[in-house]
Amino acid sequence: MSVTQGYDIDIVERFKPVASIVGLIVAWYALVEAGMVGELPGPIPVITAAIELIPNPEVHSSIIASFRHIYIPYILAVILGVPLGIAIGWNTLFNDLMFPSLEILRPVPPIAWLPIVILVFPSTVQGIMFITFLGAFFPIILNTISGVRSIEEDYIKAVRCLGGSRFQVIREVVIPAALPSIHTGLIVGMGLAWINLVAAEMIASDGLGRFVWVSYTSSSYPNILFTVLLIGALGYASSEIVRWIGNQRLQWTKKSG
Amino acid sequence: MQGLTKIYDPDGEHVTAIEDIDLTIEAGEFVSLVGPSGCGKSTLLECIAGFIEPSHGQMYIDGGRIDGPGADRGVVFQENRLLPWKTIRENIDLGPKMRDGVEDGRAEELLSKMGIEGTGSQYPTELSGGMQQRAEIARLLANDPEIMLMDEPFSALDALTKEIMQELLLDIWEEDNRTVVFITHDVEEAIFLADRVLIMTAGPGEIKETIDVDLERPRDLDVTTTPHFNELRKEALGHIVEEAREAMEGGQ
Repeated sequence: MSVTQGYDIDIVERFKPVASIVGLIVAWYALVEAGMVGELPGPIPVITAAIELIPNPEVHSSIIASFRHIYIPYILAVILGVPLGIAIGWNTLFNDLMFPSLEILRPVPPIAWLPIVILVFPSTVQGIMFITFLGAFFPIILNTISGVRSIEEDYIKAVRCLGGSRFQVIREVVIPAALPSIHTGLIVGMGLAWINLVAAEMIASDGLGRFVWVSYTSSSYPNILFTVLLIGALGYASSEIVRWIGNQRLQWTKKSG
Repeated sequence: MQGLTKIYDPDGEHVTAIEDIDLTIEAGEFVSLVGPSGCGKSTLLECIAGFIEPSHGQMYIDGGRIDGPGADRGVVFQENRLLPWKTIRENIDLGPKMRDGVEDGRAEELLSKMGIEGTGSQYPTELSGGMQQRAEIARLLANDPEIMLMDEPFSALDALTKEIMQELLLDIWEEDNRTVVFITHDVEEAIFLADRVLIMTAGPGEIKETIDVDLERPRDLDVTTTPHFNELRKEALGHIVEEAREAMEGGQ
């Protein structure tokens, strides 16, 4: 299926992501030099800022705080989103009761939740986590629902006539058949949790999002860009970890003969 | 299993898929159902399997009413339904596993019986169509059903593989004395395999004719070249052609 066997091709394949990032930096440099992006700092001041900020303990504690703001809600979103998605996808009663409400809440942007969150949650940390939770929750639950709904009925029949109960059908067919789709939801959910992070940390007392806002008020523009890129890189790495873990468990989707 | 009687008719949408079918199948009997496509063969099979409920009429196995699918009736589908996320061995062990009765080595035993030993740790999509169908039959046998329901199981296979599978199926059947209901549109296949060939008519599906196949057992494919086999084939084809003609005229 794939043409990635063979040594030479492998090097080319590995070079492609590097080329992508180098291309981004070159384009950025060119735009800044051409004066087309206002006061946006170019790559060199940002690299200088990076050298200064990478050993900075405040940055370290911000990273740790942001990880906390992402991973705790993310795990909650998985624990709630997957079973709820299976129930909604599998059971029409659940679907009719819950799906319309979900669809109303889903398009609300993270910033719009801020005032509500401030009203509802006694501590700001809970509010922040609620907003990143929403980022992860919707893609996870929606992909789970669509994964369950697209199961071929013949697999269910096959397990039923092997003597499977309804519960066993869910365990042996519904969950494994929906896993590739759930996996996609987990990857997208991780990305969206990071996207919501900066909005959520507007009200925070720590974290990378707050570091961006503080740098903005003190006009440290290279610091903003460095932090934004750092958030991008950490978000990308987090999604890749989820993708990798999933691929280990979904070996069967790779095999074909 | 003493007998299986059924009388029923339509679907909800007033499309009468099968109508007023009375049928008794003896334990250990091999019955083929032949008929044009759309004659309700598969509907009949799905009713026996318990996937759909007849609108009228009753079905009994050993005097007990059929109420939903069960492990006593195993189904082999036209396209195999091995679970792609399980290895061949896990697929074969699935039925016993759901009843907490997995026997070590049983899967391997069945695989070698089906002539596909050594494939246990592979995934279904890594096997050819014929091997997948063997694995599916192995999965069925692992569950030890009294009745095997087969819906055109070999129609997607090439001619040679199909013949091999037919002989294999007969070997299995002769060994364990299970009841088989075998759907096909291939008249020769139907006669070669069965004790009794039921010819179905289309719209609404009814059983039009029954042909008793008195060919000696055990059979191999040589029997298909004997004069008697030819007579039976002609008789069956005659009924089908007649039926098809009536259907066409009736449609005009």
